[in-house]
Amino acid sequence: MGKKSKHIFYLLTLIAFPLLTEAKTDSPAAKFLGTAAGYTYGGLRDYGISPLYYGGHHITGEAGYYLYKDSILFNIEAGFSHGTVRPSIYPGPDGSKMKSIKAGADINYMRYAGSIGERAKIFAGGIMVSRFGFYEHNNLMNSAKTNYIYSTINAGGKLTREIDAGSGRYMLLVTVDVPVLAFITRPAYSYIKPEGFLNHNTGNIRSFFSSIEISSINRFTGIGTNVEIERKLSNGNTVRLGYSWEFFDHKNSNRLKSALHGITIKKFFSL
Amino acid sequence: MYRLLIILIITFPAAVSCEKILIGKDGDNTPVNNFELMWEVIDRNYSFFEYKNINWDSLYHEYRPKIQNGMSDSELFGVLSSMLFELRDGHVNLYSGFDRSRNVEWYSLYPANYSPDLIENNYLRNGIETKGPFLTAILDSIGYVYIGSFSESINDKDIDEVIEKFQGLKGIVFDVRNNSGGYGSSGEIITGRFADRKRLVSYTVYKSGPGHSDFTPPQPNYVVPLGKSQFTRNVVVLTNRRVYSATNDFVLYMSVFPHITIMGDKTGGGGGTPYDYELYNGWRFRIPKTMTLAPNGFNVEHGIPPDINVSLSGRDERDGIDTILEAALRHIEKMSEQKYAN
Repeated sequence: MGKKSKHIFYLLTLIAFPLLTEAKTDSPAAKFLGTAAGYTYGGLRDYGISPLYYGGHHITGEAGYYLYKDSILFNIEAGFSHGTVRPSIYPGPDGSKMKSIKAGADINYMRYAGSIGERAKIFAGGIMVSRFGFYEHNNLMNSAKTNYIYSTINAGGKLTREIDAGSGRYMLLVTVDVPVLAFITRPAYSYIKPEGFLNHNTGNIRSFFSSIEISSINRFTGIGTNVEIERKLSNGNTVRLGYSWEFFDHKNSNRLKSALHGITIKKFFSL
Repeated sequence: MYRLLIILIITFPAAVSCEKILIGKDGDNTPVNNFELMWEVIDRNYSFFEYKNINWDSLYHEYRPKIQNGMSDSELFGVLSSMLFELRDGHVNLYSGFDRSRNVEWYSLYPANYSPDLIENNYLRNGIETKGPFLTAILDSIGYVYIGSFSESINDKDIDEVIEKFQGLKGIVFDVRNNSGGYGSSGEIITGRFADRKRLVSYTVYKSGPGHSDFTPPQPNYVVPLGKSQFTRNVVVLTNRRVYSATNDFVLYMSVFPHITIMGDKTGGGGGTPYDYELYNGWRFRIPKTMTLAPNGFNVEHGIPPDINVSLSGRDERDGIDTILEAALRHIEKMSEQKYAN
């Protein structure tokens, strides 16, 4: 199978997957606006900057729109995080560190696929994950900055389980997704300092977008997981406490591996 | 069911969160690991193995036995520096908290061909004017500019004032001897003031993979006319072996223009842009990951030969004469006389 055919096959499989899943009589849609705040810890190894692992702390914020039916889970979320990462193996004689800025947006569409017992449901579908990342090292010359934008179409599954505990009504949600197809913009040489700039007449923006590639798992692998406990409030709103983990590995000439653990608290306002 | 959920909650995040496995763990901070890391990073990224015909594998076998865990930092620094020295590259350095390794053979093995005292005492005693990093003077209706470093970025206003001051003169001697580089943008900013039109001045090739011959296709670099006005009469650029790196690029760019002559000694070279890397112990080293080619494909790593080769003679130097500068002044006089004769 050729590279192009393989991409089309992945894409069609992904689109068809939720449609083939079991239909169910729908309930009225529950709609929410949600906001979240959180903390992430994680880092990266970007061979374009340093062969060392850099890790550190970030603060995060998110907002989104959520639509839930018995047969469909749909949401659009956007988030932002900011932090500083440092080499984990040595403290750095001159305070080596990188500023880390990230932003992202997810579109999540899943359909009911079956149940386990009476209270646990399984959903399956697709997630479009978009991420922007920017790192700037404080004292490395020429390899000081890197940035990337990627959008991936992921195949995903979600398990929901209603739980009664005490007087509260809770829901456990476990989500896993893996990228099938990725659109990536990540130049191997995005910026140099302080010796000036290499692409004198191309410019960093053009070199950034000239690096666009479409990849599948042979060059871009990843996984996203999310475990959340939801508490339904008496006024129809809900709160969620969640733990997430994201990992990706982009194999261009400067391989980049990144992973983040996150804890978030979300508040959903019923519409 | 509950058992399944509990197992999921406890084991799932732990199982997938092992990024130390996925990302890979940093090696322990030992001399052996630091040697291995440096050797591997250079193996994957250094751009001149093939051009310089360096057998990096054989250097591994030569230097690896000299590394033992337990050796002192200064001993480790000595061995790593010696290995780096084999690259014969002024853009390759190792930085520790206590020392910096360097290779200066690109100029130390050659005649200086420049004496700042000689210029100051015999040519710049009167009418000297400083415009930012530029030292300027008028020598017999010919402008003289000296810039000793590109370590500060060039201010548009400064170079525009230099050009404005010299407009109407027969020509300009642009002296960059002993200027060993700095900001890569300097060459483009200055050359733009001498550009009659947009011209292809160089190509850059970038390492694109771990193989020693993995490069991108050559990326063209152009210089376009910049500034309030451009000087398109005769110009002579003075060079010696200490012209390196960004200044080497500047000389390359200037050499493309037909009204500009390169005079003096061959430049020192340094056509690769150096990138910093780190070791487990926090030391940094830098190596070039690119190559610069002239428009005709000539690799400028080992320097740019002048159009007219002139050396500073010891006798002239004793007599207070800069042989190279005098030759440049005569060249401009001759060229302007020819122009009027025609």
